[in-house]
Amino acid sequence: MAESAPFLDRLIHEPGRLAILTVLSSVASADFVFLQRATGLTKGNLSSHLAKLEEAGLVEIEKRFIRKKPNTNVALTALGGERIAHHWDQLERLKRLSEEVLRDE
Amino acid sequence: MKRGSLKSAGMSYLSLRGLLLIPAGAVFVASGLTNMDWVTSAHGWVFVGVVLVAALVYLRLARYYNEHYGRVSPSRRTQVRLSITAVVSSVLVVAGVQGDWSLDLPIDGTAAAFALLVLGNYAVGREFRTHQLVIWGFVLTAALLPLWGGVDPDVKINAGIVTMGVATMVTGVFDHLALRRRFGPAAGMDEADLCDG
Repeated sequence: MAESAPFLDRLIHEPGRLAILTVLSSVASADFVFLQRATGLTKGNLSSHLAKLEEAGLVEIEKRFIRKKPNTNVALTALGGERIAHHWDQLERLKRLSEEVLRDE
Repeated sequence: MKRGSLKSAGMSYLSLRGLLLIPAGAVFVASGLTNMDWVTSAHGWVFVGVVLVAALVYLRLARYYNEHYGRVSPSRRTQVRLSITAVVSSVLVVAGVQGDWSLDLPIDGTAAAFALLVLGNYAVGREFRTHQLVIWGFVLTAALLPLWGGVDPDVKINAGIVTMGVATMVTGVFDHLALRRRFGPAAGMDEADLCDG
């Protein structure tokens, strides 16, 4: 049976959100400052992407105070872990398919 | 978008917080120097003082990294790997010291064991950087040169510990520079950006 065509999750495919989820996929959790450093997103963009990801149930956000300063800790949920792994699989498939098409031409 | 670079960001950050290695290296150096035969018993207090200062400096530097570069908790798998590495490292270094005490080997077993475990740790974590290879490769080579036969074990072990300390501190400086290259300078963001939302 032929493989189904790769399907890209539009929520995750946005570069900022893809970067956030990929960074989170290899750690237990990371805070807002680190995610800014690792993704290069501005504070506003990062906040907005995190809100969307939390709404979709892909990340868990914990607001806390450390030394009287606000700190936002973010962790991937089980669903988020599955979705990001699946998304990268789909991207790999798409890449392989496009390479095959180019080879056949 | 580079998947590998994003995926390794957390681990790279944890391993490149090099300034934390400076107080750790200072403790090694103080330990090696104060263990030498020529040191009087009063120097024991110098070592205790160095450990206390190093602990305070370590905490201050950890806070600097947390505030300027953020906090990351390693995954459970990484925590297990780090714990196993710590146990294996301790066993290797103790074996190196024991070797230097009981066998008159022509090498410095203490420094060689430590250099090997550091290089092994970088290799397992797939986080090899040129400066780490150069510094620890140099320590390993120096320790394995057959110049140490007949040297008093006390001198040999403590020379190894001092070398480990100096190499640790130098590695820390280069690690920190690599961290700045990867994640930007500490003051590279707007003040508002450092206070998270």
